[in-house]
Amino acid sequence: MSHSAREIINHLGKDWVCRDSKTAVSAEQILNIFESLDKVLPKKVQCYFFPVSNSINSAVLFLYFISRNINFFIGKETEKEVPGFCDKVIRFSGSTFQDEIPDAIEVSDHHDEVNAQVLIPDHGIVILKSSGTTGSPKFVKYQLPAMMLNAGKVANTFSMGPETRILVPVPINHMFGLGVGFLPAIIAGSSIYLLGNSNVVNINEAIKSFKPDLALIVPTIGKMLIKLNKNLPFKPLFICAGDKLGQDLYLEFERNVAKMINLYGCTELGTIATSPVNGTIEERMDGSMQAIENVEIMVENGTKGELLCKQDAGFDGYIDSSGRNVTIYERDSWYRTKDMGQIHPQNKFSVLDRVDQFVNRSGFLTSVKEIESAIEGLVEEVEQVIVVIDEAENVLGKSLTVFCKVTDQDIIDADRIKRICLQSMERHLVPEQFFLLEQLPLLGNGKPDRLSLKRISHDRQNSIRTEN
Amino acid sequence: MIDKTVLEQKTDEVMSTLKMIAAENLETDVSADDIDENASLYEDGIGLDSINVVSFIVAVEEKFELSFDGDDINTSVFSNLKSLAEYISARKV
Repeated sequence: MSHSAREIINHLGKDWVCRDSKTAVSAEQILNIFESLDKVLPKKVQCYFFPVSNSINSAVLFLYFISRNINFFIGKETEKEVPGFCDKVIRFSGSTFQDEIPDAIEVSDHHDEVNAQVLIPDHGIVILKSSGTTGSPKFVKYQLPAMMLNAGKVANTFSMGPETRILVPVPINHMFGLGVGFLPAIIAGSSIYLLGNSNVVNINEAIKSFKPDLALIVPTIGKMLIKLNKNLPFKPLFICAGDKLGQDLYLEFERNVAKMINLYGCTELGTIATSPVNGTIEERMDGSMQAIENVEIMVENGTKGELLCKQDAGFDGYIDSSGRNVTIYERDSWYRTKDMGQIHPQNKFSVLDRVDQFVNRSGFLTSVKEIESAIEGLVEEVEQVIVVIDEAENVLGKSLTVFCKVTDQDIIDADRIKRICLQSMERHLVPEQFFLLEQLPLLGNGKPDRLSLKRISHDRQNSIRTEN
Repeated sequence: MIDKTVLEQKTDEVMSTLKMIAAENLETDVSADDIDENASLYEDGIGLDSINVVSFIVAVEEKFELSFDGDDINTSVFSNLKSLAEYISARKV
C-alpha cells in the first residue's frame, strides 16, 4: 500500500468512487480535473486558506493539493479570520468541478500586516486548527508524509481495502473525519460517502443507498440512532470518537443499532488507539483501548495519571498566525495528552477525562464528570449539569461551581438541588455554588464551553459578594 | 382506489397536527400557523436541527400511532411537512 501523496490517486481502482449527497466522482474524473486545476490555479503560492466542507469539490481540491505538495490551511466555511501565513484564499462559487472547473473556484490574494514567510521553505504542509476545548484554538502544523503515515495505520487497523466503503458524516475539516475517514480511504482505495449536515434521516438514507462497511460517528449521533430505535437497512461497523458513551448506552447501541468501536486521538497526534477491533462486546464496552502500531502510551507514576504518548506520525508543532513556530514536537519525546488515564494489563489503557477536569478534594482525586453524573442521577428535574473548577480554595480544596439546566425553574431552584446533594452525596463531591441556567453555553464542536461558565461563575460570585 | 377528496381532507388534518408537533420541537418560539409546509424541515428551512429531528420523528409516531420502517426514514418522505403529511395520510386511509 503506497503512502506517497503523488501516487495515491493513481492506485484508486476503476470502481472507486467519492460521493456526497448530490453527486459522485471517479478517480479518472479527478485526474482530468487536476489537469484543469493546473492551468487555472496560480503558481508559487505560500499557503492557501481553504474552507473545507463534506463536499466533492472540497475532496477533489484536497487531493489536488496533497498530490502537488501545496501548503494549505484547512479552514471552515464559517471561518472569518484568514491567518497571516495564508497568501491566497480559495473559495467555491457554487457550481461543481464536474461542470465548469474555472467557474467553480475563486482565488483571491490575502495580505496580512505581518509579512509571513516562514512557510516558504516547506512544501506539503497541512495546517489544522485545534478545537480549543482547553483554551484558545491553535494552529497545528503537519508534514504531509506524517499525516499520511497516520492515516495508513488507521487503514490497517480497520483492514480497509478497495472493496471497503466508508460513510463519513463527520466534518473532514477536523482530524477525526480527515484522519480516520477521508485519508485512510484514499490510501486504501476505499470508496467514500461524504455527508454534510448529518441527521438521522440522511444518515439512514446514506446507509441504505451506499451500504458502507464503516461509518464514523460522534456520541451525539450514536444517541440519536438509539433514540430513533429503527432497524438500519444495512449494518456498518461504527467508529465513534469523542466522549465515550456510558456502558448502558453502549450496550443499547450494540444491541439495537450495530457494532461500535471507540477511537481515541487528537488533532496533534491523529489516531492514537481504538477499542479492540476483534474483541468481545465486553472488551469494547468497558472503554479499554489498545494503541495502534508504533504508538506508545504511559503515565508517569503508577498506573493512573496524565496519559503520555509517543507517536512516529504526529504533528510538527504549533505555529502562530504569522507562521512562526511556537512549539516544536520532537518525534522521540512524550507528548502530554492532557487526558487522565489508567494503564491496564496486556498493553491496554482507558481514558478517564481531561486532566483539568480532575480536582483534589479532601485528598481525593475527583473527576468533575463523576460529580455531574451523580447530580444528574440524583435530581430528576435536572436535564444537564456542568461543574467548573474555580480558582478560589476552601478547606476541601478548589471550590466548585455547578450549573444546571432544569426541566422547569418553577418546580425546583438551585438551593433545593444543593440540599438534595448534601443529603445523599459524600461531602467532598458536593460543589459550593449552585446556579440554574436556561441554556448552557456550547463550543462550536458541541461540547460545553467550560471557560465561559468559569467566567460566569466568577462574575456571579463577585456580584453575590458585593451584595453581601 | 382511494377517493382523491378524502385523501386531500385527510392530508389537511394531518398537516395541522404536524405543524403543531413541529412547533413544539423547534427551539425558537414559532406558532404552528407560521410554519411553511413547503419549506425544508431542516436548518435551511423550518429549522429542525439534528437533535430535534429525532424528537420530531418520535413525536409524529406517537401522535399518529404509527411506526416508520427504516426504509421510510428518507429524504423524500422527510423533505418538508407536505411530503410527510401526504405519506402519513396515504398510510392512514
